[in-house]
Amino acid sequence: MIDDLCDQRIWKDTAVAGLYCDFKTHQEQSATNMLGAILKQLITGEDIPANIRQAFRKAKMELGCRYLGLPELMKMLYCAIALIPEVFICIDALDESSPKHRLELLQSLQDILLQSPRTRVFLTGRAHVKDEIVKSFTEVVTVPVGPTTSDIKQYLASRLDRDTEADAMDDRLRADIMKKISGTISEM
Amino acid sequence: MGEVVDLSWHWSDCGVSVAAVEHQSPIAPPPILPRVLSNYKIHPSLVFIVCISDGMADHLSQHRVNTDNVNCYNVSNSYNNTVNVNAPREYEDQEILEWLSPLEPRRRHHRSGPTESMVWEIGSWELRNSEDGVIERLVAPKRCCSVVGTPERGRRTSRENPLVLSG
Repeated sequence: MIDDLCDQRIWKDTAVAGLYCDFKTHQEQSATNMLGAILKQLITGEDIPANIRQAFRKAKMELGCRYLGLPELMKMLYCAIALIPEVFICIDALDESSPKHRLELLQSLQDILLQSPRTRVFLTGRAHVKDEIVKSFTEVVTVPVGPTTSDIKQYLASRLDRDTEADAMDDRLRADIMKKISGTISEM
Repeated sequence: MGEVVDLSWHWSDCGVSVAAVEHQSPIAPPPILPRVLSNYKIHPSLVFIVCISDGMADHLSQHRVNTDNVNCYNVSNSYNNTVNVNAPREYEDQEILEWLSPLEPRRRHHRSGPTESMVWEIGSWELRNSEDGVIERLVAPKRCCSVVGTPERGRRTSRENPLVLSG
């Protein structure tokens, strides 16, 4: 999705920022860190905005380097987004974030949407996070997705073609794999 | 030759091992940075070049500094002078980015994300369908678009097997 947005030149002056939630790194993936990662992408490649540089220098003089809090980060994010005509924020695997951080993140994203009408948020997750998303945003469209049988077969064929132990495979085994896996997924 | 000043105490809070002092005086001795690198066996990326005023350079040329005596030299107190510390901007930029967030989403995306296992064109129908594709929904008046795995399958299926959205 991110690659597709980046590849498309339909929209000029568009920034695409994205990140992946990971259940292995709950502690590290706080709302502040995740939104900070979004901000990093929006300012990378450009001169770091003066307000961020000043805040950093000030923080560095306090207690070694004072931790950046969410309210301060949000102000920086608003300023950075305001400089870009259109921003897409994509967050994948939302279900893998911790529930506590997820609520804070969703609320912050909603605040961004309220502040910046030209920003779009794209989220993916398992079905059980749908209610949280719907509750957090005033305007949201939800798209349920699932694989098609033809896609499953095409993907399986591609992976089998890239098998590093080709000698272990014969036509019969290949046919079995194609039939059983695609059949099992389709029945799920 | 005693014009090298170790300022590691000064930079300890930001993880820099050593700072070198570079004269801006017209009577400054030959460049000292290579010798600093050699003496301390440090990586060039860990060195800050500290530019000092001409007056300070004159002081240093008159009062040799014992470079072996690490961490005992205080520029401000010894010479009652002010040192202008100009860290290269790229170092500070990197520090700022790390301060904003320790997460490196892009790096992870390319190292272990689903892109590696993508198969070209699979699932693209979901993105490119002109009538109800995800991108079209994303730019629609409703400004938040969420894609959820169908209840029976779960999103994991579509992630490991990027048939739907490779994200």
